[in-house]
Amino acid sequence: MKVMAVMTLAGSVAVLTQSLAEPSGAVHKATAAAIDRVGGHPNFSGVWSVMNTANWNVEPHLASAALEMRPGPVVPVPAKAIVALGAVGSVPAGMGVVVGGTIPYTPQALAQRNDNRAHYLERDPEVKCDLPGVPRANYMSLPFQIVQSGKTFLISYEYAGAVRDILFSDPGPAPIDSWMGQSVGKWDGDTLVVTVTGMTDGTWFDRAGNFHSGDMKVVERWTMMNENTIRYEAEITDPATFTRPWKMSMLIYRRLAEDARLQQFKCVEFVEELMYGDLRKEPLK
Amino acid sequence: MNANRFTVLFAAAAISALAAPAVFADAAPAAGAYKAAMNAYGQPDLEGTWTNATLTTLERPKEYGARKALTPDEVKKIEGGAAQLFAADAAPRDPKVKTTDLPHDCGLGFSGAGCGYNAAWIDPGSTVMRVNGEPRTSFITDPPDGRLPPYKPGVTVPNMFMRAHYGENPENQTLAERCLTSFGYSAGPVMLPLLYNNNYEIAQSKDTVAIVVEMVHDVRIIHIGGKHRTDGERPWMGDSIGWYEGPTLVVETTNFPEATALRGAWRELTVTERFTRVGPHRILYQFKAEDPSVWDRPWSGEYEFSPSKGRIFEYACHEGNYALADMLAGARADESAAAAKRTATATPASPATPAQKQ
Repeated sequence: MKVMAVMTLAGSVAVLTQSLAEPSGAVHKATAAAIDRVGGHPNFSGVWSVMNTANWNVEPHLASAALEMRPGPVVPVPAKAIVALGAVGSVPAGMGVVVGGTIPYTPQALAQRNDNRAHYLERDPEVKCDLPGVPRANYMSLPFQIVQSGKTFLISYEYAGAVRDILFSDPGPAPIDSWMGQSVGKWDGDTLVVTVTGMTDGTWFDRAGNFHSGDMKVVERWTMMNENTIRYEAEITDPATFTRPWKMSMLIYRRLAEDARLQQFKCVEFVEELMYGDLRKEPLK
Repeated sequence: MNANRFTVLFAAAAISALAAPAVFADAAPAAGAYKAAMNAYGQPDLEGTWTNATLTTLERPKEYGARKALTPDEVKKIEGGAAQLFAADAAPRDPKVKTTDLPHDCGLGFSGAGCGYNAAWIDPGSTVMRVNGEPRTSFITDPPDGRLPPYKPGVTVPNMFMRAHYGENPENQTLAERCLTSFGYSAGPVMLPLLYNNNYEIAQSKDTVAIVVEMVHDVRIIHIGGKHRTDGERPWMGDSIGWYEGPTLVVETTNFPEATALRGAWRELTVTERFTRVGPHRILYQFKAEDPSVWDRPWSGEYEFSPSKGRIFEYACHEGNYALADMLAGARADESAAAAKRTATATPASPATPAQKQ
């Protein structure tokens, strides 16, 4: 057991030391010559997705047996509802996408996050196929497509058919909260800066219980590093939940293969048994 | 409640939403006279937020026969009826009025408490559809009677609003009640207006046209220069490819799923749509549907999109879908009540046994 403890500690240290530092300014400089442009701006049109595990947990994490655990006779074991999935229900490791490694929760919010994690199955809005909100929509495992012209910037997500239209004329505060929020964009050189407000408190950041309040503001920065890579940053401000603003930073990659077509993931029908199965005329045993 | 206003409106079989501002309708120039602006890709610029809300319907009421255009008096009667409906619904109501006091039938299949779906909630158009300025009796222009061709023998057309074993399982409910699609054919194709939310946003990139449909935030992704899939899979809204012919975007859709059959057609259905900017505030939308397994001949028609009055808001249907659980729970409660009644009827109070008497 001592050996195991040392190994685990060593793993944790490795994760912490490799957690994201603030990206250097140099990597933000797009190579303008290689990037297609439309309307005078870099052309983000295409199908994109991340290659990270941020949707599992935006903070650095080792692989684990399941998203929700319960006490076992020796060590915690996967929650009963996950057991049948075996290795498929386990969590892949990741270096995290939070700049600095840790989300600066208030003590009360941290307790809430931990409680969320303990009750993952019943609380994660993704389990019920709810719209994902921003920034989570951008780093789910499913791709999204940007349709950009000289005046329009539309993001169509495969997950749940979520969609965002970036407004380039600020209409003022969102008249009503929504799951995907109100996105107002402006160009800062070759970086698209999008301020997202008016989101509900119903969305999470990931499958690890990381959450926010309905007063969250997200400022996204979309920068093309080259024609096939986007540096994506999101600054999160939410004083009700965090002690200070904090950032995520990650790369998003262009889908290049012959199958680079946005598919449909209308998951609403996939969760009907979960949500309404007990209301069938003859519930399944 | 004045039942006559429904009669006037629904005599024209009106089902539609946001008004097409009359200023745009009347200002539509003759097709061909307008030179469409090009976007940054050199394509005809179709971008914007558009509506197809109208009092005109897909099929022509039989009273108009082969006549494609409405007379000025007919326009006045239909649009006046709609205006009367909106004004009446906007008027203050007696808060003591109960749902049982509402008209038994208030049109469009609504009755009793369903009449609460009045003009405060629906978003019906207030004008008839004008194509090149001509007020129309229907979208369909071919066949000449403005109606769908006869169905081939044996073809069944599913009822979109009621299904077999309704209430027994979530899968027995309509797609709209399950928040899977609109309750009509909003996303199409053919894209057809509904009681409300008839708004669409078009975005164009070099190789894609995206059409955001307000209902259920569906997004049609049209592959410009693409090829139809040949793997036998049938995605929601079918498989759309497109190309530009001069000022016109042409979209061809096949591989429709059975779940969203267009008036009964899906297996061999091909829908061809043509989008042409015919004015600063008008897109001419022409369509043709053909399925030789359902109809002996194609049918086609046209209408015009006009600008929406605002931007599209999120239609988060599933996230607030308490109705589906309530409908299923209601059906279970009805069954329990019926079972209790049967038990009470079948088992009359029996005389007490001697043992019980003791």
